[in-house]
Amino acid sequence: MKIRGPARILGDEVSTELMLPISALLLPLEEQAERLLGGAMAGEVSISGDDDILLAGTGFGVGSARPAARVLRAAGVGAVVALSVSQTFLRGAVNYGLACFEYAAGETVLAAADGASVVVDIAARVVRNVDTGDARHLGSFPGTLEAAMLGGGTLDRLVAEGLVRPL
Amino acid sequence: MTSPATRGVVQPVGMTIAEKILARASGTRRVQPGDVVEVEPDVLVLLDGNFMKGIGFELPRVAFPERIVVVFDHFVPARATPATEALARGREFVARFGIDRFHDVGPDQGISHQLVCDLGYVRPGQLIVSMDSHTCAAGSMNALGGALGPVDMAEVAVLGRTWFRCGPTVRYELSGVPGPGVAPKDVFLEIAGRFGDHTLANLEFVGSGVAAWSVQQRKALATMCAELGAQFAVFPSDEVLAAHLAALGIDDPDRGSVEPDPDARYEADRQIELAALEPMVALPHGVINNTLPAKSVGAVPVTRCFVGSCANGTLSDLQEAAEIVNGRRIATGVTFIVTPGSEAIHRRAVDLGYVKTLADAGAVVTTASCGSCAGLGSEVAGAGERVVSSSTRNYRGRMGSPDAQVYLASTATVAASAVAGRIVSALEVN
Repeated sequence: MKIRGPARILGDEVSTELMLPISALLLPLEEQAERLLGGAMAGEVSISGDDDILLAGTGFGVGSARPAARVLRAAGVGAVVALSVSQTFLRGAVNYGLACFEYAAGETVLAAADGASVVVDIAARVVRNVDTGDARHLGSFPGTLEAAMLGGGTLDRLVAEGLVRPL
Repeated sequence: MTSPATRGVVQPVGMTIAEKILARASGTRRVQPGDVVEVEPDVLVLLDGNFMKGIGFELPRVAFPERIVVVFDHFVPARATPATEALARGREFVARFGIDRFHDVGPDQGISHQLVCDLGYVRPGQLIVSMDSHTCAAGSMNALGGALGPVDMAEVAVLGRTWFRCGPTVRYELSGVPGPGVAPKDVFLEIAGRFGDHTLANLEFVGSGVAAWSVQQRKALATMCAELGAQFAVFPSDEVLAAHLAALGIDDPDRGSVEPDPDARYEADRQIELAALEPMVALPHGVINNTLPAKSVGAVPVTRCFVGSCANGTLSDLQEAAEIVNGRRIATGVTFIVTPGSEAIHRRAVDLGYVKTLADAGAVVTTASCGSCAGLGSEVAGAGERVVSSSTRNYRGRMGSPDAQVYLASTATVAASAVAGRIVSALEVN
């Protein structure tokens, strides 16, 4: 499986407040995603919704446990690749089916210009800048978690089994 | 559900407090970093947000209603729909499943982490979960507090189980006696500035400095560990905690308490001498590698000051703020909001005269809620405002406008700044 999209370069400690601001928390999901698409996340990048690959540093998704991963997925983000991902954000990725990876130990953030074509090759465990050929190895989340996030997320299963019903 | 990638690879070594509690909650002999464990939490806290349309879920059944606590703290007092609908839905849930421990709007209202601590909802060695990222506050009780998302909370309420990925443990030994004006918040700001990101880590605090702290002071530091990216923070079980639990009428307060094994493995072992610390401030818009001594911040005029949140809304915080502003006036052009962590704290602060002292000085004391810390309620920061706050986080937009500049500091520094009209430590106004 490969995910291809434009690179969006982010720094360290990108909080969920920037993905889903409190002012948008109670809006319908479609409006939350539209706001993300229409604004500049972290004051640095704009999400195009065309399977953007977010390349971030440490602590991606730190902060509130609000469902930010759901908004990224709804906005058309293809994958997140970060040096480290907050546990609450990772849980959201697993639940809502957002591809989310950490670089392998010792790797640095992939160098890429904003909008550069990037491929996440899940089988090969690399993220590659198609324009330059530069690549980084990906680490592995435990198999059960990665299978859930790449399989659409646990929420769909819970709903299908009648265990929960979205309000 | 132990990860096969790590199982059996290393020789058995002892476990840290967090590893021991995860092992107990998962019914396994041992847990080590890298493991994903399925656990059965002892306590589940459902918040008003869990009943909010678009966030929460309708639950056809719950596995263990006796383990559930329901707290309305983020959207109280509800000012409009959909918050009013969420609270009504929560009340129906409480009635339907016979939940005994329910904190509605009113005299029992409060921030969940404050209530858990004040009412002893979690005991040493237990695992408590909720949908709030500051659930790690429960570490002050020698317990683990795990933050989940809304889907996880629905799942664990229905099935009674969830999962955690165990991270490495970092040990912090705090020793000595802090100087005047130095609080646990300053210790946190020192750690954030000096040691930076701790994503996934379990933080274990020990030492003579910790032994001298109240459970509430420990909670202030444990709560803030979420801002370091830590998954869990935990303090020892000792005489201070036992006295806290005994005062709540809890029998056998040491039962279940957990100590690390002598050969427990730590990713890092760090020492902090409290006497060497000074009042600290985090600059906008984050805390990681972004803190300075208050005296080095320079002339930063403020328009808004806030004391409150699950970290610093305790009775001691209100007392400290009142003592600093006593006989003074809040600076012209400054809005000073004080929000108690619970209505019980609020009433006690009224009885003790703290609220009058604060009000006489010009502070606005509100009812207990997450309020300003989360940019909720009616007291939110506007564009262009400079804020100094003893709350939990200062990411861009956290307290309201994305164009506000939020600095974090201790309650003493915030109260002193409210009087001075610029960021100063309490040492500069006393």
